[in-house]
Amino acid sequence: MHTGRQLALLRSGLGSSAARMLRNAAGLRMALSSDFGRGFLRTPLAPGEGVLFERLGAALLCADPQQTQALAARAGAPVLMLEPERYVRAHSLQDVSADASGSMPLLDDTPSGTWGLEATRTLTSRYSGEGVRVAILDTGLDLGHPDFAERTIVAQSFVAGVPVDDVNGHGTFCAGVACGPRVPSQGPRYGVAPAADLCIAKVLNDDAGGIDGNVLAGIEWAVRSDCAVICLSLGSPVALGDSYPEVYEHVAARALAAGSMLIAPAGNESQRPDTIAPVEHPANCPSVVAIGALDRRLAVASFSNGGLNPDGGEIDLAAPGICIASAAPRPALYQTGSGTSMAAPFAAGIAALLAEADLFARGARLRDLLLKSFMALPDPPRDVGAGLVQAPQ
Amino acid sequence: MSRVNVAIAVAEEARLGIYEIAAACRAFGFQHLATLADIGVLTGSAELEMLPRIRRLPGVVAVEIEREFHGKRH
Repeated sequence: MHTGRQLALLRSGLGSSAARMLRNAAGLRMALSSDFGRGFLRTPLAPGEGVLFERLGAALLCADPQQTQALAARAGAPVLMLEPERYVRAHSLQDVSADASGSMPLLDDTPSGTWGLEATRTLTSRYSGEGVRVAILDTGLDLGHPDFAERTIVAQSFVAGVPVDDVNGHGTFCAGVACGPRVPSQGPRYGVAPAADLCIAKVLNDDAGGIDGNVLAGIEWAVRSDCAVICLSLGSPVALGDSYPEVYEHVAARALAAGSMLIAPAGNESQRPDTIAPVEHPANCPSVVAIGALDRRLAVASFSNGGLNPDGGEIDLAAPGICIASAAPRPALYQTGSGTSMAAPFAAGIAALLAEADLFARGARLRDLLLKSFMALPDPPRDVGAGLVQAPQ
Repeated sequence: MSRVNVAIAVAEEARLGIYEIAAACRAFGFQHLATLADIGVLTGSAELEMLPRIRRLPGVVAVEIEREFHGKRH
């Protein structure tokens, strides 16, 4: 069910100037949400009017078909994506219990892609990760999954006596979000970098547990394999006031110098709003990019850890982390999951797109590019870092 | 006596001498499991009370007891 209004996702960095651009492009009379305080949603929009959410890089519009067409057709227009605004019910068939209540519309999967791909602007990106190697250090991959049948995959297990095949599902899920195909065998697209080359390191056992020795060996292998991006959807809790682990910081810094960037999840130990746990190890290393999780209203997920410890314990970026659809080992083929593990591969896939867009962007330069690729969010940097990670267009 | 699995990071300028550093660690009872030369790390096990001595060896910049990890699915 649609309201008849439209939600526009805007190019990043436009700020309040987007209002003028929307007026020039389609003749819309735009107001700024900051002018309304908390009362703007009670203000009805007349035809031809809109409200710009400057900090979100989004706008709610009441555009007629001609204005909608003008926004879609105009080259260099500020609008990246235009969607009908949906009604949201408190008790739908979908599980929305994990999404915060709030003024933002609830994002949902569409036939063309998962909500996470839409929110990160992946569906409109011209890049696919071609020529870029992405390492997934996890529980392995279902190497016989039909969605990965045509892909270049190098795989190795670092868990003694256990083959790389994934029977847990965690690794297949994360590989799917980072590098799943453009056209899956079933359902909407769920992968960010469909043309990237995959390096699968099984460093977690079939219960999704692991130890330093295996993880470090997997990082070494990925660095040696010239992976521009190394995604570790794993962590180990730390206490408030703990410093980062020195060994991993040395390793992450050396990986950056060798052209490989490490990305890790913030951790799921929070129970917001009552309890916020600090960013875990190894995401708390200054040289590792730490990713928090967002719900479908682009608010911080209730379980997502926060930047409480200094010197690397901050959140760098946030990514979709609730009700995420991705690949599963056969026979299921697909699954839906939540967690900062699900968020980190979005950033890893987008890093691969950035690495394709700039062949010289490796190591620290790629990290800097990724950290600049975001859309600001209302939640504080403690919870979402700079904001929602965004794909290059 | 308590034996623990450890990871030892060697200094950037000492990475070319990582095998010599491993030998020096073995002199303090370090059982050497793997040399990760590209990232400058030795893994293995050692007695807990020997860790400060290993840490003071020339070229060693960090010694940490092995942690357990888990996938971060909620």
